[in-house]
Amino acid sequence: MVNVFKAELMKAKKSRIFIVSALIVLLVPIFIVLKDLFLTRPPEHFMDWMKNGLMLNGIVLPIMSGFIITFLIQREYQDYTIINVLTAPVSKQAFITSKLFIWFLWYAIVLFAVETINIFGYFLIYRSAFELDGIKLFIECFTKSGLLSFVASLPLLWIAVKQRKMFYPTIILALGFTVIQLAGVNTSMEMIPFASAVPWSAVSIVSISEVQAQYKVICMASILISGVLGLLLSCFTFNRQDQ
Amino acid sequence: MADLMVETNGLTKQYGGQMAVNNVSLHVKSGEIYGLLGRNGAGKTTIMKMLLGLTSITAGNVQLFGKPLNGNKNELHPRIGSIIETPGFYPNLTGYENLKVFANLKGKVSKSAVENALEVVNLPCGDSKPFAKYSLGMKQRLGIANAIMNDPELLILDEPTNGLDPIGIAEIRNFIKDLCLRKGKTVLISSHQLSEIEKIADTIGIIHNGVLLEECSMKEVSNINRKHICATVSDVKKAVLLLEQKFNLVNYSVVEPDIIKIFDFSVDTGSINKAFWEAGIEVAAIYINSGNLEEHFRAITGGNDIG
Repeated sequence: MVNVFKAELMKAKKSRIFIVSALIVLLVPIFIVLKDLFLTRPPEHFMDWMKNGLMLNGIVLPIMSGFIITFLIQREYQDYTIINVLTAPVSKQAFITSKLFIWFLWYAIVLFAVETINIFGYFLIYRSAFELDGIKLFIECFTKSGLLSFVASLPLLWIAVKQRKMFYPTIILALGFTVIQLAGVNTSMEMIPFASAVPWSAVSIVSISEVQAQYKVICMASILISGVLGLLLSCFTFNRQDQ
Repeated sequence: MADLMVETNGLTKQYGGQMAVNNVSLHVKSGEIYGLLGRNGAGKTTIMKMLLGLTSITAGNVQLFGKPLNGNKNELHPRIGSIIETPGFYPNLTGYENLKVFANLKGKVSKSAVENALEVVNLPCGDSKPFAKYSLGMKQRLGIANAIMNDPELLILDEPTNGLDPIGIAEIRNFIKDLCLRKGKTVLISSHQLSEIEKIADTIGIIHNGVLLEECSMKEVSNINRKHICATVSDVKKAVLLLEQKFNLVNYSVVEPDIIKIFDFSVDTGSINKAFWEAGIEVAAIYINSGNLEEHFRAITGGNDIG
């Protein structure tokens, strides 16, 4: 398994899409920080500023993450490398796990960089209110929102495997998930029970909105189910797939 | 049967209602080059994919190196090197980098294996040319380098000379022959180019519409199909008597009630034809049959040309 991860890292090192996608995600908080420092007046309280950052990250990161997983899977089919990989031989489980690993690694590094930029922005913009508790809050909110968003988007892996050489279904689905996640930010109280059951809106509800504990449980359950189902379906589909 | 590297029994693959491979029983002996012949869509690639575990098996079983594939994949598959369809490599990586990636995936490959494999197929080690800019010949050679990198006992090569120019084809042919003769590798190869298979194969399997029509050694094919004069005559008994008495020809065989195959070329076709005519034997046809693999393939598959 370690060898498979090593091979994935070797491939990733030479792929520009990882750098380009990461830069696109990172440019958003950088621009926000620069804008609020030099051009416009930032929100009064840093919590409001952080929520804006969370929301924007919740749009850009899932979309670019969709590109990454699509690229990781689709390229193997497109270039017929999947045949050489599987005849190396690499087990189908190891293949899926390695893709998940490299996808998550990219996601985690970018998420960490986004958090760092936001904390740096918090320091520059709200210098008088800058404190350790604030940093902890930034780390907690961004990590929670980012990781839950990643888990909820695991069905993308299944679609990517199922669609083989096709590029668009996964990208369109990633956009769809992002739109639902965005809609979850402004969910009305009446809609909370329904939105909590939808994994992608649940990500926003549980990370940004203030809701009752029971809905938080529903949110976490729906996100977890989405992740587990996405993974299981990916493995099941790939195992049954003829190359 | 002893010393079989690949043995399939009733191997079958069905896609929905379509039978891609039907009850195929192959026998590839250790150290030989086995040519799998068939037209496009005959089922050659599907058989190879089933052997490599890329495609599931509908029915039948596979034995590799004398062991059943089922339950022993992790032990058996690392002993095989393969090229299936197009050589698939990462377009943005160089040949060396590509092989490094696959060496990592293969795991138990020596440190110098990548360099050695590239050297064997005559590809540069330290160039910066990405795979996307390789010529078709270079791509095929890189495919072979990848297949031999882990020093496999068995090579499964699906159309390895596809799209190559005549010199490239000859290079690959000699290389495969060399692998078999000098290094004792067993090669299962499929190809469209019957003349190429004819030059290197020890045994051939002819597959048509998913069915293995014939499996025999090239020696047998040569014996059945060796160059001869084929004469279709009205009276075979009289014709045979004439051949023996007038021309002292004994190396012939009567293959059908009106067809004689003469394997002795000491008398030319014109003289034989004239003698038959003078003896009152009607000759419907008389010609020299070159007796190559293509002829044999046509005869076996019902007159269809390969393509």
